[in-house]
Amino acid sequence: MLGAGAGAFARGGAMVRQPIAAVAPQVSSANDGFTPLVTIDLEPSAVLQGPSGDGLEFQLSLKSRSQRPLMLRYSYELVDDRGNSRQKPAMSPLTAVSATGIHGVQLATPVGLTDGYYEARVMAAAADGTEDTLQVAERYFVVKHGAVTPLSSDEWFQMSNANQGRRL
Amino acid sequence: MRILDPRATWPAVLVAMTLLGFARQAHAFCNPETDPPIQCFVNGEEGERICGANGQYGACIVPSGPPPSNGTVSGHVAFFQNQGNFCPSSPTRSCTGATYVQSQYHTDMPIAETKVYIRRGDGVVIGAGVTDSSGNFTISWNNPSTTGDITANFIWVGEHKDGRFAVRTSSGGQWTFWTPNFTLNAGVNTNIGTWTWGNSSAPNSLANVYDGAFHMWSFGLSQSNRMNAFFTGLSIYAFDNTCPTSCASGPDNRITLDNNAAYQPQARIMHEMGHIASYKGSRDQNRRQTGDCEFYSYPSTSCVSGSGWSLTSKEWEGAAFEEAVATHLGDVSLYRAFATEPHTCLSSAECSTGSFNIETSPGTSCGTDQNRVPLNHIRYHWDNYDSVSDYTGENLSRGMWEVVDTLNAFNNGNGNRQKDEPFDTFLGIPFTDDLDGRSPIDFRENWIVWGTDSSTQLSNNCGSAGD
Repeated sequence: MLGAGAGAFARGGAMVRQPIAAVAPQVSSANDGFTPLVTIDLEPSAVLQGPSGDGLEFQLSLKSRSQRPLMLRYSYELVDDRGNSRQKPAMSPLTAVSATGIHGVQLATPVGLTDGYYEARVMAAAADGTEDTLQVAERYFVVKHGAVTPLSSDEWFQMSNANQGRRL
Repeated sequence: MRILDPRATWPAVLVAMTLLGFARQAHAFCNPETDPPIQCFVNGEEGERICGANGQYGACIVPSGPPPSNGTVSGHVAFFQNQGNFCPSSPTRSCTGATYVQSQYHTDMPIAETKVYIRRGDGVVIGAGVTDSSGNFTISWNNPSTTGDITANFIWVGEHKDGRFAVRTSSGGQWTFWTPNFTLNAGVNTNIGTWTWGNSSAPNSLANVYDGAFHMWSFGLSQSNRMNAFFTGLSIYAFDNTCPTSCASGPDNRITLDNNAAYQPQARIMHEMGHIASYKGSRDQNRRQTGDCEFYSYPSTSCVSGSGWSLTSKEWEGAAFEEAVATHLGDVSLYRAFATEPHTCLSSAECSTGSFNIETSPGTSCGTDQNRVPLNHIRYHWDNYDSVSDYTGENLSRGMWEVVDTLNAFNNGNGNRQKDEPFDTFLGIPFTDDLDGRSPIDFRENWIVWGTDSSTQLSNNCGSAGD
């Protein structure tokens, strides 16, 4: 079950939290697509430094546009760039969100991951009685010599094995 | 003793040798047991002629080198299908007329009609071709710098075979989807088997976007001659949160997909391609179709930050109409005209039954401002297109191309029912934009000029707040 800091665990010793500065959003004036019932926002918020290596903390924000209360549930998992599961999907409890309300929570990867490329994935399902939606957010990071660095999607696809095909 | 003068004897010797050589080459007098081969040349290549058993020298034979380094390569490419908006397998839901159904979801589906390449180990491309609609390819390769078998790999780059669209990086660069190296056998076909991108644990979001764009083109826009003529060279930037809910820019011929856009094609890649189609149909309107934030800020006439829009929100008609057209064109690619339960929604899963069925028209008795709700305008367009009747008098069933052709028929100008009616300020005219300046009524009236009256369809979908 998910909650604050879900997924993080230290393998002994104190953990230090190094916040990551939020990136100011660039907003275009071009015409916009339509707004989801729940907007999912998943951004790296801190590097968690432990004796056995780093972990990454994410701020998950789920914002409702509905004028009615809605119910939502989300899962969180971690995979590497070859599609191997590194943290099985964990499911949140069913959560009520008030009209146009926001549900926020911090998620974290395990600390001390082996070097490699990783993808954190959150899937959030929501319904307000009239409309429902499933939203997916995928965010990326690399572990190199135990240090964690968030990646953009460009970096992820260009640097990792994510764009490598697999023979069937 | 007489000393011979060499200068006197060499000419005679040469004449004798020439005559002898001529005789050996021109006449059938050689002994295969004793006569050696004769040197000869073909196109500058040294060879030899051999005395045969018949006592004649044969043709000049130039020894062949190693086999040339070329051949063909064939195979099949696929991706793990993870897009929502499929028609669900359910005893309570009809998928008649759906072009994307649940049995295709979460399977390896073809990467269709894309450019593919064979690349040598040093990155040089030595072969190029395209996949067919089933993801199969056979292409020739040629590597002139070496001989025999070589090591190479296969790549594709997210570009449609005819250049209709290309999935790009967030800065417009080219993506590379690749395989590890394999051996290409010279002189024959090398079948590299089936390769796939992404799996159930980690779908490839870019490959899914490519497929969404292909589906939109293949099942939707390609029905229109106008789109075949003008819809080309589109760049799809993936992914970038410059537009938090994705966006399209007609003048730039570019779509920017937000970070979460990959698996909800109907409301993202297909919808945004619908905007580009609308722009092309509208003969490159002087400005973006829907313009600035104030179009989404009803009832305010100035921008309300973060106002956005949804299928059921009340909007100025300049936004409601354009968003409905863009959504409709995407819906057409997912459902045929004879579909009994076409749905539209913004989701990475299926659209739940009823949210929103576009074949359930609200009728003529509607609540306040329901005539400026995008969903009702989408239903108006659907009723013009479909061959299923859900109320008396719903008797139109017109091709999707009539949408873009009717947009094309708007006269130039910014007067009522003209092409740039909503965008007065942009044209330098000192009065404000007409926020209701393009509406289903403008569309209906221009269509009437060309002989089709869709008044019944419009009135049964709450009408329009425009004029």
